[in-house]
Amino acid sequence: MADASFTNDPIDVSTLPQLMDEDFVPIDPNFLRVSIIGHVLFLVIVAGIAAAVLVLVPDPDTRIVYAIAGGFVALTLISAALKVIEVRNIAYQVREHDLSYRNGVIVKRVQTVPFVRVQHARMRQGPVQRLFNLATLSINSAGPDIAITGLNTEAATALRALVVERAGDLVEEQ
Amino acid sequence: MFLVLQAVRSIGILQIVFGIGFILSRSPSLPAVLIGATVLVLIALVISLLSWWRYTFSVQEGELRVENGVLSKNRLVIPLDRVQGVSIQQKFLHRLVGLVEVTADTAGAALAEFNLAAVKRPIAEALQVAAADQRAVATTAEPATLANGAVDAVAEAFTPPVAEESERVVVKRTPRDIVKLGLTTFPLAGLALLGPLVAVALEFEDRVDIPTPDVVVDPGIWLVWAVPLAVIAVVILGLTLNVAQSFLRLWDLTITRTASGLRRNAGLLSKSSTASSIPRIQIVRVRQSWSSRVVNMADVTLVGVNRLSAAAAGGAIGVGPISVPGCSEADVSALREIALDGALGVTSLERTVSSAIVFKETRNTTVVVILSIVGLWFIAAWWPLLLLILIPWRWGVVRRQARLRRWGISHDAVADRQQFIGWTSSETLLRKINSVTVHQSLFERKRDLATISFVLAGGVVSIGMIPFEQAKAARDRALYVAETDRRAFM
Repeated sequence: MADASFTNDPIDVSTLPQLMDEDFVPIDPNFLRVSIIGHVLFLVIVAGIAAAVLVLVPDPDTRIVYAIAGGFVALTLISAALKVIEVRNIAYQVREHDLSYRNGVIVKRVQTVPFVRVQHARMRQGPVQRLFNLATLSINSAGPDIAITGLNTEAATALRALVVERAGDLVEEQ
Repeated sequence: MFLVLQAVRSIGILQIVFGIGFILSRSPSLPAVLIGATVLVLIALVISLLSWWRYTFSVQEGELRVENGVLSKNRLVIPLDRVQGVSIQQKFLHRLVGLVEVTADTAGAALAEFNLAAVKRPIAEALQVAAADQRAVATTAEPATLANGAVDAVAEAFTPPVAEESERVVVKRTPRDIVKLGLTTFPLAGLALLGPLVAVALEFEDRVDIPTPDVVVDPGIWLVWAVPLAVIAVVILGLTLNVAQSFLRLWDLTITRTASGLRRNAGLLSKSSTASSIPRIQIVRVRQSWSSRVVNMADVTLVGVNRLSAAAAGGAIGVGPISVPGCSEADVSALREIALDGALGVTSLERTVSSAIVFKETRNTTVVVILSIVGLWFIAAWWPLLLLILIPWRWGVVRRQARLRRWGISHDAVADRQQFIGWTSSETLLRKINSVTVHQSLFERKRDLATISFVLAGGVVSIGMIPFEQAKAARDRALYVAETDRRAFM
């Protein structure tokens, strides 16, 4: 483990590379549409279930059904509204040695994973995402995953290739 | 002999108890039950016999090869350099027949979980040493074959002498330490052991219907002497159980620095031995409760790679934490030095967190309390107003915690120390971090504060309510260290 070439001198903090806010790349604007469509689909399902209950159950207590369905609708609308605000904040940044992902509206979050710690990267595409040419890229380290949503397919593919290549490169350098 | 014991065990004590209960309550024809039980035991015995007979393992050319399976055949090959740690457990049952249980911790190969229920101790230890010191095995040109039939001969050929010499005992607990430890543990902890017994007793009482003595006690007097007496009795009982438990679990606790890692041995009746390589240690946690401060002892936990992280990295199982209770200051610094692996660590913990957290927590508590009071008003009228006490209580607690919280970051490590009455500190090497997250809640954003989380393969070190600029600088530094350092992080 002892490495003769290894030094551990104190470093001047101001000379360290900084993660700059303005270097973040926003995600594809289509993501908002996909997200809203997802919310609408969910509402349709809720409405469908409520209708099914009202029709199929003999003598239903309509107030409870409406209350539950209304609760779902309200939550979905709030979530959709938050998504509209959040989408401007969702962005990513690739540097030479790491990848950062920024998201959140009430709690704003910036996660950064060094490429050396990446175990694998996975790309996912739902049916609606495919329609809008979007994909989600999950980057898996030994800690929790980072999932970058709303990348367009080309960007996601390129990013995945880059992450895997950088991770591989860095491992080989060791 | 061991097979018989194990067969009985495989049925499980619980089932036996259930069985007896069943017989007692229903009492169908006794011979039928006996025959049924005998058949079950025989089946279990035959199965263990068969699987024992089919279970062979060997170490050849630096690989651990395991073959098992009664009907289908499994073959597992683990390169020894993938074995990250070997733990040896000797439970009481094993102790009787002089055998041990071995678990090898592997990373890099999914499904490579290796567990031997019963082997002789020298072999297990040889395996531990061999896995720890891969070079020693790599130079062993002659393939050593281990099978259940011919164990003793191989065990000798298998022990590399190199590792033994460089071993050094770091921490050793004397019986006196163990008594101290038992006495300074929270008394109720020992009582938790009694939980199942109480349940059994209640059950028993239900069935037997013990006549309760007809003693009439004046409730006033009863409260005066019986309650304190009962409390004292419970505390004494709890402490006694704690001491007993400490003796059972921590007897002869020894931490050894081996050629490539740390080994922890302990136990009176059931013995356990855990080995981990140094890079696998992720976080050093030191904890001192108010009672252990009296005797000047602290608990050190060397947190390894957890199961989930190991799985994400493609390994099968993680190394559990190596816990070393009852450390003196010298012990703490010795263990910390080993875990830091040459790094300097955080020498001064002087950064504080914002006192805004006091306002936030008090406000949140107030909201919850007021809502509860309003909610409970209809049930209990004025009584819920007592909940108001919680607000100053929470304020006091958080204020003290916020004032005493310290954290620090050096060029190679980050540390966090939380204190209320006792204290806990966590320290980790920056080069081991897996990712860094800086997050800001709405509350923090308004005050230009942030929370920083250092995510490691073994857990998270998270510090909240610190200035946003400090959080960003800490992140940049951590990333710089993790990205420029090429040493193994787990």
